Amino acid sequence: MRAIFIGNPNVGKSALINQLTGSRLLVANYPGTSHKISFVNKDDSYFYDTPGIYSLHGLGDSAGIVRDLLLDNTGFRIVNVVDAANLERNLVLTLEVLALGLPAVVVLNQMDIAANLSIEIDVEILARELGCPVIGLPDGEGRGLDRLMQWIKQPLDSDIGIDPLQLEKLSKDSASSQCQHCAQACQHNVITIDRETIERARTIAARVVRQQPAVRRTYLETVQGWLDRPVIGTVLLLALAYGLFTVMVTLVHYLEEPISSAVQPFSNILTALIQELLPPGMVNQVLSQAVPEGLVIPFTIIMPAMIIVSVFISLLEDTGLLPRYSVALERVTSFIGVSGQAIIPLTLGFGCRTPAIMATSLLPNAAERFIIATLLSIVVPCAASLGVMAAVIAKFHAYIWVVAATMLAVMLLLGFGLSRMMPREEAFVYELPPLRIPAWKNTWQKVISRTGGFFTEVLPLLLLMNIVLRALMETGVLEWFKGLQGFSQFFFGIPAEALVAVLITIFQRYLAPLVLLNLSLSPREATIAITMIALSLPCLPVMTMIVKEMGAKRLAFILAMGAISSFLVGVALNLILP
Amino acid sequence: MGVDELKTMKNLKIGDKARIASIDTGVAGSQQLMEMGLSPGSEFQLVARYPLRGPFLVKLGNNRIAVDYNLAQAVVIDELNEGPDVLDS
Repeated sequence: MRAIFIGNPNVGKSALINQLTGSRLLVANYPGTSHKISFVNKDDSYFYDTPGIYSLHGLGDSAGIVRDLLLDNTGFRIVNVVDAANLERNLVLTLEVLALGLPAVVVLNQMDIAANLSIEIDVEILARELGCPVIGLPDGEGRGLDRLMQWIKQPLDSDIGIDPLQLEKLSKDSASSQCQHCAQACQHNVITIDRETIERARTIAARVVRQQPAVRRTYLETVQGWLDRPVIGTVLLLALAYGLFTVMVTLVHYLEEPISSAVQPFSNILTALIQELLPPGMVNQVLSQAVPEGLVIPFTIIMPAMIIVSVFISLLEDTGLLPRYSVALERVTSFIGVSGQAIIPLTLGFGCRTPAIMATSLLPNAAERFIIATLLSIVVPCAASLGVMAAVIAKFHAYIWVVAATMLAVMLLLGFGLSRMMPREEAFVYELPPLRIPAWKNTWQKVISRTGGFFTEVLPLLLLMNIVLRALMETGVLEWFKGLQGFSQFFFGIPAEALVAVLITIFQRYLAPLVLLNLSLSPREATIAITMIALSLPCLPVMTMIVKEMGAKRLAFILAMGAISSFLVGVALNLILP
Repeated sequence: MGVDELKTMKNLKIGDKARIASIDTGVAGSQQLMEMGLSPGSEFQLVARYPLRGPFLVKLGNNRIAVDYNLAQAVVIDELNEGPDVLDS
């Protein structure tokens, strides 16, 4: 059996499928978390998760994706997930869905939140008005979930299809929304939600919803009240961001010693083992140094940063704090020519930039997505890079404020320049989710999956690159670069070896600073080198993601911009810094 | 404000409730706005407006929707109930 889950953004479609099937679809408290169709298979039933939409006939990419799914398939049921606290708005989509003439059920979700707002909904009258089964969730006993599962598993005529009139309407919508893909807002494309549907939704909602004036405000509402005040809220949000950053840096700093002494014995054994097992010579010398180093450094420098950052980001996502930054910082993002919700992918980038590139899909158009992908690739440091950068900055007493200010300046300049290259009308309309206590299990799962990359990607890659690097050092290949000394000193004021480190970013950004750790640099040299590394090329997984989402041409452009910005920043800092 | 002048969301004070008369569909984002339920006939309350021509935050039912300055100008309102100076929700 096949069931397509359709509903407004942020009503909990993915979370519901996770509950029904035990799957692990990404769930967060902001509109636009899912942006593609994903499907889960359990006991011969297929569950299709779709991006949240407000109307089947809407203009955005998400509505198009859902329409295409409906048009390309036959023999399925529809589960319409509805936010009980916002029934009137949600019912517009419900009525559109029911008009398709397919077997459908309405899941009245987040009944607990509605109850907190003193909202009562008469489920029976609603079912009668809509002419389809309505299931309220959560119901505390899990009976609702069982009922839903049974309904989904009922046998179904395989050739049951969409009502022909509606089918024609959907195809027409899809054809006319094609020009949405140009960056400009199309004037000739007018909304096709019917006024009548809106009126009917209003009437039905008025008939079944009873909202008592809230007796008292919950403390979450009080917090939300403060955060949604323009000046105070912005100050509070920025203070929180600064606080989290400070906690991260401090924790990483204090954890380095204990972790390092914990893994040291292991590393010593490994060194001894390699020296013992391999015949003496070059290979022995390279491996006995590179392998323990390549294993220890990730654990002491990178892992703590990755764990802490992913905890913070998962919490920001699941509480609903993250989208609040998009309103508070709208003036800043508007300067770089993107709408406020760009804050979400940019923040996610501090965890890992690969999922952040995917999250750019919540931006309204291709031009904005490209600007943010460029900034993510060139400027935003991921948790792994942050860890390594922090270590290098600490070792050489580099000027942390120069590094941070330069990165911020490059981000603003680059964004400003790019947005002027792609003139278009920008708009910011975004729904703020209510603040929520995170579902701890979900947050925990996200932390696990976000730090999983440490073992599958960071550790093996660093080990490999470390071996290559050691080999280059031992064989004297690096000496050859000494010829670049004059060039490097003249332009960037850094020794040739540091320039080699910068060049290594081509292979792996967070590896490059490790080369610096082996050199002796002055604070000034370290500052320039680390800033050049921080503002350069994206790592391989990010490059792959960009090619997949935007094409090779765009990637080539981003790489060129990265190389140029890195070199210009080097030259500029060399001229400015005393 | 003159009676014959069109009032838009921009003219509202914090706490004011208003009903939407029409929306200028020529402005970028107006389609999205209507999809989200801010369409002619719906009533909302202004919760906050951010400084420096920043976004407007409105409450529509139990939803909070942020709308940029340009769009706020495109939302023409008719009925208006002045709210308290300091909003408490």
